[in-house]
Amino acid sequence: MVPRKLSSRLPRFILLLLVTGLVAIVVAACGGAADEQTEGEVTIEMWTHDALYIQYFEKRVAGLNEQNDDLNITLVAEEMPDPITSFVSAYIARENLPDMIGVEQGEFPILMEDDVVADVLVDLTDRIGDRYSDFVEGRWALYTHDDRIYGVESALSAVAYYYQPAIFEEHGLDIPTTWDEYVAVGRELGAEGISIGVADNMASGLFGMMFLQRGGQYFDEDANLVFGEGRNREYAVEVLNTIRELLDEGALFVVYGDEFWGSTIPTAFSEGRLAGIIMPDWYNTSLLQPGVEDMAGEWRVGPMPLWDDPDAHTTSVWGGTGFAITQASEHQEIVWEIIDDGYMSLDGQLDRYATIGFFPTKYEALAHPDIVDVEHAFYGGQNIGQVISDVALDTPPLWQSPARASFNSALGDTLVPFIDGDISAEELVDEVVRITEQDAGL
Amino acid sequence: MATPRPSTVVSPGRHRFLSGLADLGMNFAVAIGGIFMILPFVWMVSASFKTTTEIFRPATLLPSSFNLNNYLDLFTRWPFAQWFTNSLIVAGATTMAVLFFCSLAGFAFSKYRFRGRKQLFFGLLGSAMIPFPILVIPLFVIVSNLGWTNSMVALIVPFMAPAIGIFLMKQYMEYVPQEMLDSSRMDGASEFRIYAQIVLPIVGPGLATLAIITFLNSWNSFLWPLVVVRREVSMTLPVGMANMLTAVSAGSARPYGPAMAAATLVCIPTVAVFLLVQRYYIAGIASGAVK
Amino acid sequence: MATSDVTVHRDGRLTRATLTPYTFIAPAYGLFFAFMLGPALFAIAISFFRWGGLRPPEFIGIANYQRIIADDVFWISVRNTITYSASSLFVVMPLALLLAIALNSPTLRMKTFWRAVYFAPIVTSTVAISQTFLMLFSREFGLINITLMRMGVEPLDWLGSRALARIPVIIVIIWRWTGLTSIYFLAGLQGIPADLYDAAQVDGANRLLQFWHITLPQLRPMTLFVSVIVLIGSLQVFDEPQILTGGGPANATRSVVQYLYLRGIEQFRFGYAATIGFILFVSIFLLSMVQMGVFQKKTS
Repeated sequence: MVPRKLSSRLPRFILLLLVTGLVAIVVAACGGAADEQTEGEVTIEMWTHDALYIQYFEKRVAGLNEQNDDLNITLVAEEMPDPITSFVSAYIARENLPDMIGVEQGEFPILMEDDVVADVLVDLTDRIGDRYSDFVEGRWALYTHDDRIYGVESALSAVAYYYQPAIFEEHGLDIPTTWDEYVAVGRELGAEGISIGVADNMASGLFGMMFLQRGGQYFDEDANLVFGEGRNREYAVEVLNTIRELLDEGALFVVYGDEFWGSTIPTAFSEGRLAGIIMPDWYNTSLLQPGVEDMAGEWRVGPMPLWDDPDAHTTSVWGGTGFAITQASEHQEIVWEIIDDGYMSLDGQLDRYATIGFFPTKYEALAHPDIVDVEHAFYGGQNIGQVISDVALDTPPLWQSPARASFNSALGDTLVPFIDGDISAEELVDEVVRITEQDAGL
Repeated sequence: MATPRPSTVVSPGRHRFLSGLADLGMNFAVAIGGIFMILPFVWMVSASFKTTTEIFRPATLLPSSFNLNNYLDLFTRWPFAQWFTNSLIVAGATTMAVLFFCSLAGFAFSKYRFRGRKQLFFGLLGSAMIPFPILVIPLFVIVSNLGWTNSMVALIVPFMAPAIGIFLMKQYMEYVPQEMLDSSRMDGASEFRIYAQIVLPIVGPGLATLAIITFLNSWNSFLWPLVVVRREVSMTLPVGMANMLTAVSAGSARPYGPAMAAATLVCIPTVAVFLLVQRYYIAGIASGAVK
Repeated sequence: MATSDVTVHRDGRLTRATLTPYTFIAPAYGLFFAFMLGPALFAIAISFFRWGGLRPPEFIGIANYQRIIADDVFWISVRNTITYSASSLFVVMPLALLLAIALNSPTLRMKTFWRAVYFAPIVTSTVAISQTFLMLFSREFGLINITLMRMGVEPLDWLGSRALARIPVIIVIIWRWTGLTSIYFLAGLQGIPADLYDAAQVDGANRLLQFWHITLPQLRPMTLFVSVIVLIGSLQVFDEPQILTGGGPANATRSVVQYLYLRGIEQFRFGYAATIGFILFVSIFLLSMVQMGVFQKKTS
C-alpha cells in the first residue's frame, strides 16, 4: 500500500520540529523593521568591553541632551569582550560599524599593523590641538600611531598597593614602602602562609608594572623592540629576580590566566590568605569592591613600593581604554562632542571619577578637591584620591608597537615557566625577544 | 571485569560462582561509572539554584534552598531568550534543509541509474574527509564578503547538505521496493511526486534519525558560530554562554550561577527529548557504522 | 545528454527521466562546491599569502610553511593534540568497549536506566558541560579540591598548572565521548552471530575466552572504523580546552584547532591560519590511511 500523506508516517516530533522552525523563521523575518529618525535626533552606536563606560556615557549624553534643545542623542551601547577584534571583523565583512568605540590599549596594536588605523578611526590630533599638554602625556602614547592620536584615555591607570591593614598589624609589620621592605615583609608573612601580593602570567601584570616603574620600556618611541637591549634588559632581569625572591619566600599568590579576573583572588582576600595586591587605579571600582563587598572598611590604599634609584618612577601603569571615533560614523562631530564633554573637560574628568571611579588624566583635575578630598567608606574613610594624585605626574608612558600583540603573548607564555622556576630571568628575556622577532611580519 | 584464570574446564558450581562474581563486578563498575556521568548534571542543576556566596564558599553538592534568582538574572541581564530563539531557528532551519536536500540527493543516488552516478557519489562521500577546521578561514572570508556575518544565514547555509546525510538517506532508500515506484509512474505521478509522496513517508525513521543528529549538531555547535557571530543579539546559546563567563564584566563577580542556570536550560531539555527518541539516534549511528 | 544505461520508463519519458537525477543532486552538489570543495581549495591558496583581510593579500610562497616549522607554539599545540587523541584512542575506546559489553550483557540490572545515564552526555552542549567541569575543577571552590581537602590531600591547581591542566580537558573528553563511542561497539556486538557463542558454550569456553576468541576478532572491522572516526574527531578538539583553559597556561592545553582560531580569527593572520588548517588536513588524511593500512594487515 502506498501511504497517501507524508504526515501519516513521519514521527510526530519531526513535524513539531518543522513547525517550530517555520514559525521561528517567520518571527525572525517579521522582526527588525528599521525605525526612521526625525531631524535633530541622532543615534550613536558605541562598542566597549566594560559596562562602566556605558554607565558613564549614558549619564553624560543625558546631560548633553538637556543642555541642547535642538539635540537628542540616543546612545546605543554594546558590551563585548574584544571590541577591536569585533570591529575589524565587522569591517572586513562591511557590516554596520559603531560610531564610537572604546579601544582597550592592548588591542590598539591590532590597528597599527599595516597602518590600518588611519583607515578606520578618525585622527583626533587636530581636534585635541593645544589641549594635548593639559593631559598626562604618557596617556596619549597608547593611542598614537605615526604621530597621530586616535583615542582619548579613560583612566590614568596609575598603580598603587591595595592592602588589608589588619593583617599587617596582627603580625606587627609595617606597610612596605620600598621593594626591599616588600621582600622582607613578604618573607615574614610568607612564613605564616600569607601572601603579600599576586604573581600572574600577563604581560601587563605584576612584572609589567614593576618593569615600567623601574624605568624600562618594551618598545622605543618608534615602535622598535628594545626589551632585550641595554638598560631595559638590566631592569627586566632585576625585576624578575625580585619576583623570584618573593616567590621563593612564598610571598606571592600565583594566579594564571582567566582566574585572575574570577573569584580566586577575592576568596583569598576574604580568607585572609592574601594581604594585598599591586594594581592600577581602576582596580578599585571594577574588581576589588565588587569582589569583596562584605569587607568594606577593611581596606587601605598605599603607594607602590619604590626602587632604590632616583631615576625610577614612583608609580607605574597598567591598562587604559581610549575612546575613538570611527571613520564609518556619519555623526563624527557629535561623537567628538560626547568625548570632549565626558573626557576632555574638567567637569567630565571629575564626574567620571565620581560616577565610575576612574582616575582623571587632566592636570587641573589631579589635585582637585573632588578627587583628593573624597573620603571612601570602603577604605575606612581614607582619601584614596590623594594617594594616586601624589604620584600621578610620574606615571610612566608605554610605547606602542604593531608587534606588541606578539610580544604580550610571548611574555605571558614565558612568565609561566619562569614563575614555575624552570627558566632564569635572562632566559626569559632572550626567549621573549626571540619569539617576538620570529612573529614579526606574519 | 575480573574473571580469574581462563581455564576451559571448570566445575559447574565454580563456574556459576565465578560468573556471579563477574556479574557483580560488572554491575558495580557500571554503577561507579554512572555516578561519574551523573555527577556533573547534579552539580550543574544544583549550582543553578545557589546564590553567588554559596557557590564560592563551601562546595556542597546540593543547594541550601531553591533560589530562582540565577534564572531571573539570566533573562534580565543577558538576552537569553534571544539566544534560545536564535539557536532554535538555526537548528530548526538547518534540520529542515538537511532533510530536504539529503533525501532528495539520496533518492537520486539510490533509485536512478545515470552516467557518473558512482563517481559523483564517491566524490561527495570523499568530502566527508575534509575536516571542518581547514574551512574556518576560507569560509569566514566568503561569509564576510557575502555580508553574512552576525546573521543566521551564515550558520545555516554552509551546512545544508552534509555528505553523511546523503549517505544515510541513500542507505534507507535502497530498501524502498522498485515496484512501488514503477506502479506510481504508471499512474502518471511525476518524479518529484514519487519522491515526496511515496519514498519520503517510507523512510520516515531514516528522516527521524537524520533530523535528530542534525538538530543536535547544530544546537551544540560552537566553533563556527564563535567565528562569525560577535554581536550579542545574534549569538546562539553556546556562544552566548561562553561569552557570559569570558567577558570580563567589570563591576561584578563572574556569573557562575546564571551560567549554570543557562547550562541547565540548554542541556536538560535536549537530554530529555533525546532519551525519548534515542532509538532513532542509535539506529542512525549504528547504520552509519555497519554499512 | 544521450546515455546508454538510463532506465527507459514505460511511458517513454526518456529525456525528463535522464535529467531528473541530476536535478535532484544539483542542490547538494552546489552546496558542496560552494561551501566545501571551493573553500578547501581556497584555503590551500590562502596559505601561500600573507593576508589580514584588511589589505590585499601578498604572495609569499612557502614562507608560512617555513615559519610553522620553527613555531614552538605550533609544535606545543601538536603535542597537546596528540595527547588528546591518544587519550581518546587508549582510554575512551577501551572504556567504550567495556561499556558496550556491559550494556549488552543480559545480567546487567537496570539496563534502560544505565543506557540513559551513559548516553545522556552525547547530546549535552560541550560548552555547558565544560563550564560545569570548570567549576568542579576550580582551585578555590571546586568540588574536586574540596573533596581532596576533606581526604587530607593538598588541593591542586588543576586548570592553572602546566602539568595538570590537560587532565581536566581529557576528563571532559572521556565524559562526553565514551557513551557515543560505545554505541558503535554495541552495534558491532549485536551483529555478532549468536551461534558462535552457542558453539563456544558447548565447548565449555568461559566468558573471558569467548571475549578473547569470538568478541574481539568479530569486532575488528568495527574497531577499525571507530578508531578512525575517534582519531579524526579528536584531532579537531576545540570546545573543551577553549572553555576550560582558553589554551593556557602558557599554551599547555592549546589544541591545533585552537591555535588556528587564535592566529586566524583573533589575530587576523588568515594566511598563517590557513597553513595550520592545511597541515591538519594532511595529517588527518595520512593518519587515517596509515591506520586503515595497519588494521588491514592485522586482519588479513
